[in-house]
Amino acid sequence: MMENEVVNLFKTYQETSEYNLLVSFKGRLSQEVLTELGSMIRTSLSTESKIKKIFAVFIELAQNMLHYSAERKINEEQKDAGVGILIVRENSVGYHVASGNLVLNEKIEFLTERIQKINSMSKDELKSFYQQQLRSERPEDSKGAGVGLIDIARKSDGPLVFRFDKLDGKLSFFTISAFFTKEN
Amino acid sequence: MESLHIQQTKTSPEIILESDKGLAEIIGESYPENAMAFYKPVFDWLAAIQTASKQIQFRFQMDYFNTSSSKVIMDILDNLQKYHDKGGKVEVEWLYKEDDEDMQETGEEFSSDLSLPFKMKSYK
Repeated sequence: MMENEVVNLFKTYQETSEYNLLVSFKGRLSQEVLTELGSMIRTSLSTESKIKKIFAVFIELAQNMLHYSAERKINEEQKDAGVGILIVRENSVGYHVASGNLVLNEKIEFLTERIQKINSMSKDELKSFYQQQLRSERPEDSKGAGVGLIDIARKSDGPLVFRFDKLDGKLSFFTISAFFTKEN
Repeated sequence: MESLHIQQTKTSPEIILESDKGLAEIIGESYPENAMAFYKPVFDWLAAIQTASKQIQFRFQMDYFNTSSSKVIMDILDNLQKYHDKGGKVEVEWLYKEDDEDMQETGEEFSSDLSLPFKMKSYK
């Protein structure tokens, strides 16, 4: 019961003492909230040389959640948006940008193959893959070009890390995270 | 065919469409919720200009755009290429901040498949 629960922020604070939590959000992600979270990142990272890349990766992950999370919530203006979790965290060696949201189990195979293919490619191969996808027809259920994940891989450092946690016969929780190293 | 000036917002660029001069400009950042819907006026304007067989000068001066906007920009360039192939007069300018290597590279990638006049220019 939420009203009787003591929120132990001290525990959360200790658990996150290894890193700075620059952004943390859970709930219905509207375009307005996404925009504000993006501004927070820009404020926190104003001196970081990779700020544009980190911002861009955050926007791709956030818009994926807004458009494609299997958990949807409708607000008063009858506008629906995806529900999920977004975090941006920083430690001494780099940054993690991660998103988590529900997906239909039938999407798991496609997403797994897609990310594994992307992770197996060099930067040059990713560049040609991006261009080839951008010039092909829009995927049927996509609002973009189906190049979001390729773009995330091109901008971030190191492979994309992901996992699926199965909820039931229909849904799983999909976590994906991108990493950036600090240059110093 | 009307001229149009769309003011920029936090997530969408300024768009200037001047029918008399055949000049189109997209300036700023682009990550609107629905890129295809946002850029529809640009495609309507292009269709009208092309029906009138006018020359088109299209200028991009962008700092950042997301992948959905990237797809739309590709569609705009394809549209201009088709007009050019049919004998229409087209010139594209791609302006990037002089220290913005990503935006410079993006312009190079976009222009690599095009055969219309495409100028890259840096600014301070």
